Amino acid sequence: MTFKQFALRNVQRNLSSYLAFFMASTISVMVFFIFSVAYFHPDMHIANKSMNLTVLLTAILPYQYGCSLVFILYSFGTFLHRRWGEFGVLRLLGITDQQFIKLMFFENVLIGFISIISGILLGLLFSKYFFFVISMIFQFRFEFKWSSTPIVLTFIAFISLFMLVSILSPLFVRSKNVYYLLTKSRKQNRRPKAPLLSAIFGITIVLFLYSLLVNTIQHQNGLNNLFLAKVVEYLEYDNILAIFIILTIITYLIFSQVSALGITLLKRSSRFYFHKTNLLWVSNLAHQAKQNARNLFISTVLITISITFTASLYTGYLYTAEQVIKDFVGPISYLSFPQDKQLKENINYIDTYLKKNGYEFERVQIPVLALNKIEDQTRNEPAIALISNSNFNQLARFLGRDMISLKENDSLVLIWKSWGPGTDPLAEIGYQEMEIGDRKINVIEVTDKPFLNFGAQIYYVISDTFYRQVKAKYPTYTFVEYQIPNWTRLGDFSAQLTERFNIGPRVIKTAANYFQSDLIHNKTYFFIGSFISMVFFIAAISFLYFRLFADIQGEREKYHNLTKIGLKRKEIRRIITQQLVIFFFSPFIIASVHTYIILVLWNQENIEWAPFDKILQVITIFGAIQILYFIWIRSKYIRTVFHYLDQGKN
Amino acid sequence: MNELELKKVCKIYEGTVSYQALDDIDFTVKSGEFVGVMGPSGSGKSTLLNVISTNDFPTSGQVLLLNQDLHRLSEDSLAQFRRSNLGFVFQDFNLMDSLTIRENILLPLALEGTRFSAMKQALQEIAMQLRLTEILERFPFEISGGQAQRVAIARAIIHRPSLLLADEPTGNLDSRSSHDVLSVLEQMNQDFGVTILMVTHDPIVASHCHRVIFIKDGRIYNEMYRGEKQQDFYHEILNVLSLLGGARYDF
Repeated sequence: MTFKQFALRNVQRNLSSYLAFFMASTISVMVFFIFSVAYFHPDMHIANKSMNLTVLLTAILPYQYGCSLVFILYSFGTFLHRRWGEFGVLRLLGITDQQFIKLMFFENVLIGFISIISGILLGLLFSKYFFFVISMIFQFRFEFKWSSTPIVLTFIAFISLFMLVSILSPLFVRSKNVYYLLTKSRKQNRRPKAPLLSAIFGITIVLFLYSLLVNTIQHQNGLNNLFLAKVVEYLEYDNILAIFIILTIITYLIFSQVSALGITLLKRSSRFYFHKTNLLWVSNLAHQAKQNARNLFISTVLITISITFTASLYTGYLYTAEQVIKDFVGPISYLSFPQDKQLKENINYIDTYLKKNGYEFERVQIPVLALNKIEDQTRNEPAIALISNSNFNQLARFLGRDMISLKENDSLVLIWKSWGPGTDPLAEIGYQEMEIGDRKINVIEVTDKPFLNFGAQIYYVISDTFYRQVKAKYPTYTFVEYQIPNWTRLGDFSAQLTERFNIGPRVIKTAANYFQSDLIHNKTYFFIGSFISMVFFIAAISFLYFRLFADIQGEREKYHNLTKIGLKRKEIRRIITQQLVIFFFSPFIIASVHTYIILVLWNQENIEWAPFDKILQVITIFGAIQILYFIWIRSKYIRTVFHYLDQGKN
Repeated sequence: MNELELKKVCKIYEGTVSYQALDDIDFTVKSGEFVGVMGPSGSGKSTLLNVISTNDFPTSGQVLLLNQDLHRLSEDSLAQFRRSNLGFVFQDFNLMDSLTIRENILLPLALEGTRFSAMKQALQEIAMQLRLTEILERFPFEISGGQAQRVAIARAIIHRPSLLLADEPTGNLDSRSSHDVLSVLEQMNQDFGVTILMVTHDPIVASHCHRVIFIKDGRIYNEMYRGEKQQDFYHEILNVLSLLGGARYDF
């Protein structure tokens, strides 16, 4: 038997133990392949100009490759751990490091080869559906085109990945001596530690951090005031990263400290602890607390990332219209300059179209006085305009906001924040020192709520009498704002309006023509993103799988001994189920709660964009996968144990 | 009353090469007896013990435990029977690594759903008897082999089984610990009337029994009762063993 044959036989006869590793690799390959097929698709460039999928995929492909590397390396490490005994024997027989690498190399390349082939085949199967969805999103027919480039790319990328992993493999085993490999591989003789003090300390920190988060949620702008968020912002990252960091710390403490305290408390209550099989599963949790903590922590973080990612892209897609309209007052805004003679005619044209096509709408007409030329875009200082109190109230009623009543020189200042990048229009002028027609204005309030989000950058709302006095001095501009509930379908009409009216003494702004491209954009992100999240999620639960099956030899030996003294199958099933439930669902539940916290904080300014029911939908889908996976793993685990118990029985 | 009765028990392992591990075994163990089973390696001792302990089934013949034929019962009912009527002591102790000594001893009672106060009492008694009080809070890896076997015995008899099955209980122990474990077994047999069936290949250990059954190639070869003196019994055992062959039994 040659060395190669030995490696081949190893794989052949250990197929079941290779299975998990194999599947993990196959899924990575499949996703990478589908993305690269999309990347090399010739129609991808012409399909959509506003949203280039190729750009997105260029960013994603290397990222996905990196994740695959980490994932495969980790699963390979756990997989090797199971074979320590075997390696001990090989070491005893005098295998050299080089031969060991060679053995791993053959085995890995073999497994890699098979999983690349099956990953590509699966990918070919699924890319049909992938392109079907992509075609729907872009409303452009993508045909699957046979091309060898993605296959070659995937093949080269992954075969070199497997080679790299096999070269790294002795690192997992080298430091251990033969005796250790042969004997200590499965047993750990350590007293389970549960230092009460550090557990209580850990819980205190967890509670503190949670209350910090709740406090942040309750306060408007709470996120910006969080110290850590300021640090993160200073380092030029999105401040939601601060929440991620806090939640990661919480997750770690929950699994390392809170769980330890929980187990200690369970143990303390003798009546519970010594009741039937409780003794077995609780002590087992305590015994493996340390290894479990690390695995559960990693899984929870990965699950949190994948659910949060999907849920935020999902809500982003659902609330595309709201995000678009946020930058506008209404779906159609018309600003008429003083020299615009066709105002009435044009408004009539819009109204007629809307009526004819069955759109419900409301309209408001607001005159403003411009202190400087609004239409002049080359000016350095912000444009300023005046609105009368009654006109403002009309607008406020139209937008469903509070009305005001101003006296004498009092004024409310409206500012349009998105005037320029990072500039505050108020900083440009001495707005407090404003004088209009020899009267000094007394600013009582400043708001950056969107009222008239275009035209001038600063609006002074002044009392009606004051307005009348200065009316003649300044040119009058007229805003016409529309509210149309079904505005998202006005894409074509909006484009037509922009084209028709924007030449001449007026400006027209429409939202619907942005909507369509934003929607495609968000849909694509959602689709591709959920794809990646799924891979992440499967990786996360695979970590749990590897953890469980790395120990199965010891576990089934344990159950074998316990049946000898009269443990029933029924009870074994119950113990395993209890352990697996904790193992599979504690990360998921924590991840779900954390997802919700993240999304609420992320959308703090528009809290209605993180609705509980929509997030729950995403969590439910992930939960369903988790449950299916749990059922499968549980039956596989129980089967493996029972099969072992049945051996030697005729 | 018979604790255990074997009637024409045969065990054949089917496979590419069939192998008859037990051939027409007949014997009874009466209540309160301390019986040893001896035989060279491969003689079928372990198979015999597995069949008696209901962990394996005879191919033909009957095994009656407490006058019941158990091999018709379901897996779970068998487990229930083992749990309430049998006690086991193994060569490698089979203590649970994740449980303390206290928890290991209480495991059979916990599985039965015994009330905690009753458990505490039972534990106290048995720990006193077997001198385990000092080490109750330790873990199995923190105690010696002799102590571990005493713990195993405590676990095996805490629920007052009618029959204690011991498989080479001294196989992994040095002579001092062996002696220790044997005297505990004898004490249990004498003071509490625990019926014991012990498999061993050590003639010294066997000489503590009331009766020794020798098996070879799956058949009963000989059966001997102990007289007054243990020393004489030991020599008689040695004589039989030398006739049995298959292994050298000298020191």
